[in-house]
Amino acid sequence: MIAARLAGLGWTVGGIGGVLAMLEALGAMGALPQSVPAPSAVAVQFVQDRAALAHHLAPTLRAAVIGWLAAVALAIAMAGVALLVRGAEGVLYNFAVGVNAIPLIAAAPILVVWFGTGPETRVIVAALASFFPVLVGAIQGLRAVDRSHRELFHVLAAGRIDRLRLLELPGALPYLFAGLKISAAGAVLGAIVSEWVGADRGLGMMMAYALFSFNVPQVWMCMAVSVVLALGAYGLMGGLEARVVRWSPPDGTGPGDSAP
Amino acid sequence: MTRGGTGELPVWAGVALRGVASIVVFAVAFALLWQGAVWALAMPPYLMPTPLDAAGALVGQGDKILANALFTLAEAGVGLIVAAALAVVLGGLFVASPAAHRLAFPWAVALRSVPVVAIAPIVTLMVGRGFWAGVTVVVLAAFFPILVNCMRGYVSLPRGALEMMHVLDARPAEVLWYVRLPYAVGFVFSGLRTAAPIAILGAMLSEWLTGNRGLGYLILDSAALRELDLLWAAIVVSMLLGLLIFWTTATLEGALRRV
Repeated sequence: MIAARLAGLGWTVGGIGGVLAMLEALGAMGALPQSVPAPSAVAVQFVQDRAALAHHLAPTLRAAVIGWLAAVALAIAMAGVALLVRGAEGVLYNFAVGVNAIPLIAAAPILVVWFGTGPETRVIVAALASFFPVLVGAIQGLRAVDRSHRELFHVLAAGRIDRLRLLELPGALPYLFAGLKISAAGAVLGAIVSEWVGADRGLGMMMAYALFSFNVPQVWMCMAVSVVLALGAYGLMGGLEARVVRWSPPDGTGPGDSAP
Repeated sequence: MTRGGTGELPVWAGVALRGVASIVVFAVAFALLWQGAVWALAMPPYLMPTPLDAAGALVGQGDKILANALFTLAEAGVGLIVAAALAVVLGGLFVASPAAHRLAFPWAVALRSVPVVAIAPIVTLMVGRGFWAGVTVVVLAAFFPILVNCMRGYVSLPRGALEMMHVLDARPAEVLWYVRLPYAVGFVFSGLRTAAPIAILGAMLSEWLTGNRGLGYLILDSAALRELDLLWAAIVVSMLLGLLIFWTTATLEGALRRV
């Protein structure tokens, strides 16, 4: 199992390294199109721009984290209500589907009209982008308790608290984490997109300006940073999951295990 | 697969009718909610227009909205068709050759984990600002869900069909043409159904950056100029566009499954 995973990792790392080396060689020969920089040029740009990058990253990350935390808190609270109040689940679920049906592309300009291009808009867009997966994961998870386990708890005359603590919450965790992983990446991307509508600073702004001034290495650098951020947020949740959900099979066949 | 219970109507027509009905119900409910929100929150018109204002803009600036909507729809449509064609060919290759699968499939997965937000600026750099930038973003965003479905379609065949072809001594190409492709069609369309909303969103997102034409550009522009009637009209049209393309693919899927 571990050997297979290592082999897979080797293929991935080797593949990425191979492509980077090929791009670098092409760049050295001058065979790359104008819009594709050599990887070393992107690295140089990264070192040059590190102060500006930090300046732009701070508000984006802050908006993503605050929006994500708000969305997670709201989604878990709603799932708790759905668990405790009979019949609330359908209503909440429909509400969530409605929220999810609002395209971010439509919501962001409206929010800019209402709140301006300040941090509020970015936080709300990040929250909108991360709310739905968490709620679906939480509700699905609380619903996913095995019938025979439920019967066992019934036979053992377990109380409501014990049932929640020992049966329902642990059973929900893998599903919840599937939602948390997707939404963590979503929050980062939501914050970036909202900056395209207008912001004074932020990674999305930096990306757009680099594009408009045709600073090719800077566009690629911003892209690489945003991909690393999104995958990093996803991976952070994955790491947390591996520490918390120890009983889940380690081969990644848990429910909804997929990249963002 | 089975005949519909609705008398004379074929199944796909039922699906189409239900699609139209659901769009109408959605639009009416949306307008009522919207008007209710404006009244309940006492929203001034410089923050939120009423549905009637937006309808006025829809009629008054109809040709502007229509031209931009058609541009976005064309980007999404062409992108979806190209993505489906690529998925059918590459999916067949991946199913037929384990080596190709091993070599190229991880790249398809990697492509999928690069978000559209990050791809769009690069595509704009490489393709330039215009129609084809939108199409390229749509292809990149829509390719993976269609590919996965398509590959599942090629593989999940009834055993009997393959055995029958074996008995008939069919060549691999004939198996592909007579068995695998017909069975994959339904799967391709369910992939298209998943990809359709992504396609509209991807096209509009790329228009935010290219900023020439299209519904995404119109939304951003009218927001910047505080033409709120036009903004809301364009947003409603973009939602209807998403529903329209979703139900078109669903209806086509139903019609093809009947054949």
